[in-house]
Amino acid sequence: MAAALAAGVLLASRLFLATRAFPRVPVLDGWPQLQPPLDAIALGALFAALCGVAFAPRPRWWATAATVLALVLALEDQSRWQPWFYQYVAMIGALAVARDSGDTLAWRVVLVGLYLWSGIQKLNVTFMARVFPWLVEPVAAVLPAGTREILLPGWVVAPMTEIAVALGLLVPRLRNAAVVAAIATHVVIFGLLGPLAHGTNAVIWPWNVAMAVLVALLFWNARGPSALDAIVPRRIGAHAAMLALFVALPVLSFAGRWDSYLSGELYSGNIKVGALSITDRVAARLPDVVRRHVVSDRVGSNMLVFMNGR
Amino acid sequence: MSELSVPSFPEDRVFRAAARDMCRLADNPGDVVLVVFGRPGILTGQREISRNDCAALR
Repeated sequence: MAAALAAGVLLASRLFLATRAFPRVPVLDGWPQLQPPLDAIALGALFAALCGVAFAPRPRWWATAATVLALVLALEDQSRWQPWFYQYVAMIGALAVARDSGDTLAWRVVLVGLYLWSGIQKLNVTFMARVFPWLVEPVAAVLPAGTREILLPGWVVAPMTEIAVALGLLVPRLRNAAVVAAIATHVVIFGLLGPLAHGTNAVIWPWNVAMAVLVALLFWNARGPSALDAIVPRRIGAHAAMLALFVALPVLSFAGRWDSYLSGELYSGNIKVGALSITDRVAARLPDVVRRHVVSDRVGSNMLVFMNGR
Repeated sequence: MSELSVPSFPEDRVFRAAARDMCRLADNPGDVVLVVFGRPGILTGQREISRNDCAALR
């Protein structure tokens, strides 16, 4: 997990540094922002703490340091709250505070919540009509003509598999089957988004690999805990916190009260899209790194699109 | 967001901050307009669209 977080941060290192065109958006107004070289020093310290989490025989203090550093970076820019970053930091935070075997239970709940909400959020017409056809495009392109019409109605398999995996992971007898289905799902996702197909959003490639490994390590042949023990916390602690963050609070996303990326909405189609319409004069003043992303819309206006709605 | 190698965080707060940053390059409030397409309807796919220029973003 520490290696997966390090890989994600490395692949998106500009996201975590001050020297970039896209502005940092502090979570709290007026929150102080790290300037160079402090930004690079904080990032280096996070990597060092993650090495401690990975290799130290007793990683609790390293996990505490990594969590604090990650929270500092997260508080100074909301764009850093990517789903993978949020998950890893929460799990490393659970490692820092959990007692006995509470960290394992907390981690299991995180995975159950992620699969559950990732599936639920995809049950919408935009996923069916836009995101799923785009996802399977590389496969559809090599299939014989006419097969595409058979493939596209299969969109519902994606969300239902994720929901079934979440529920299966809760039930001891179904866990191994759920693990197999989860790993198969990650293989398919990696195949579609990875370098052999779309080749997009490289930062989630290691996330897919990490999720496949985590689900196997945490659930394969695991006889306990029961579904009831997993969803009912016995005391306030890491397990209860993960239940709140990954299972309960995402329901608020439907009322716009909980952020999309904290609610399993990546590649669900169920997210907001933002764009800037700018005049030629403003476009001419943009730095090159930004100007090359300006496109013309149907009526010839300059548009800078933040999100493509997937 | 290809500059940052991640998808943009899809919330108004982030969109508005980026738009306000862009407004520094504008001579007139209407030179930059933030267009937000809201979350699509689950069954319809329809999105509410809001438009705010630099004056409205202050």
